[in-house]
Amino acid sequence: MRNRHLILLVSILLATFLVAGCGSHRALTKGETDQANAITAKIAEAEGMEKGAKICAPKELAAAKANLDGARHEATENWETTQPYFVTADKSADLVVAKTKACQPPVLKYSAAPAAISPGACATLTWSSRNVQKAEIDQEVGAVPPSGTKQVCPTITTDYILTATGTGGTVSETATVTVKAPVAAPPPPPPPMAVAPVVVPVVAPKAVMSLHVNFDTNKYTIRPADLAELQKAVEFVKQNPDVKIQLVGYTDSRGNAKYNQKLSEKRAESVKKYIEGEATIAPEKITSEGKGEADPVGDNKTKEGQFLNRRVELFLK
Amino acid sequence: MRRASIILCVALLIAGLAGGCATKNALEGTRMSLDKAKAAGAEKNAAYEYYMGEAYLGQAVYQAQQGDTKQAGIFNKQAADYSAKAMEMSKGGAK
Repeated sequence: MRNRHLILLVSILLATFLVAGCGSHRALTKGETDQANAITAKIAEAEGMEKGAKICAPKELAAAKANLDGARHEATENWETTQPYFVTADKSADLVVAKTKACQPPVLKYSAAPAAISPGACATLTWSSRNVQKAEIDQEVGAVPPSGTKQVCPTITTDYILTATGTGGTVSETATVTVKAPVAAPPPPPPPMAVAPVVVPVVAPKAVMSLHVNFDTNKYTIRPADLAELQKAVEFVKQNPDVKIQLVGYTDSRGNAKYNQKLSEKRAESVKKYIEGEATIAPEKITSEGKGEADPVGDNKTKEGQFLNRRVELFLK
Repeated sequence: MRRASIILCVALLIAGLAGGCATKNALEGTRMSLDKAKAAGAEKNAAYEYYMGEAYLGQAVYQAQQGDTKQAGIFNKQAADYSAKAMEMSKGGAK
């Protein structure tokens, strides 16, 4: 009798272990497969965002993945409904998506058109954004919607800074509206060629006086306008017969340097001949030389400057 | 016959108890491993790996409570792997 009870007990235990260890498995139903796929897609969406779920919602992501695995396992093990497991996993996935979306940094697109305006004109600021809850533009523009346009009419070049804030942080972008300088009046025409020569004292080692005589472009002939200035030099030589005079010719920077050197020498020579013809001066007391485009006294980039540089200077030794 | 039956019963009981104990020990080992990783700053330095370890350990415990020691072992293995990874990633991180 006892043996029979023991055999029965052992049989029950064996059956229990067999059922527990070799429980029948089943495949997921179509509904369960669809649910699992939908949850997987949600998780993938959150992981694929610019700032992924691993960074934004690691705890929720882990829970969702583990819950989904748990639900799948239950579905293969249980013949009864597994709906609660999938519902839990789905809720976890929703939480991951929501938290990851909220974590995305604001994205701004912002520009000014036209970027450059004339004084008194206006430009339009245009912007659009994502993941933004609050936006504002400085320069007294103030709060603006997450996307929109705004006309601005600055009087000077101005930077308009758009600052956008979302749950994922704050970003700023700058649009610059450049106000062009007023169109300047046309520059006055260069002084007429007949302008009287300018006498400019030049600080030089041996000079006590210098004389500027200007020439027309590419010319070395004495201009009638300069005769009066040269006449002063002639008078000075007459009154100081013992002084030695040095004449130095120059050109502006245009043209070949070699050519300019020759031209400057011819200019100095022309003045020398004029003085020699007007005043009685020993040839050894007057010399001339050319220095080409060296030692400019005016800006060679302007017509006025070039005119000043085409000259002969007279030094008293 | 009688003796053989008794031996068989005892053996089965021992086998059953040993299996349960092994699962329990494994789960406790993973729990300790995750606690160490947390202490090493894993929550901050290896958040995803740490929380994956925690989540799978939770699943393992649930399966163990349900009597599914086999699945508990599978989930626990995943938890232990993530825990080890979290620990490794936390080395040199915030202590």
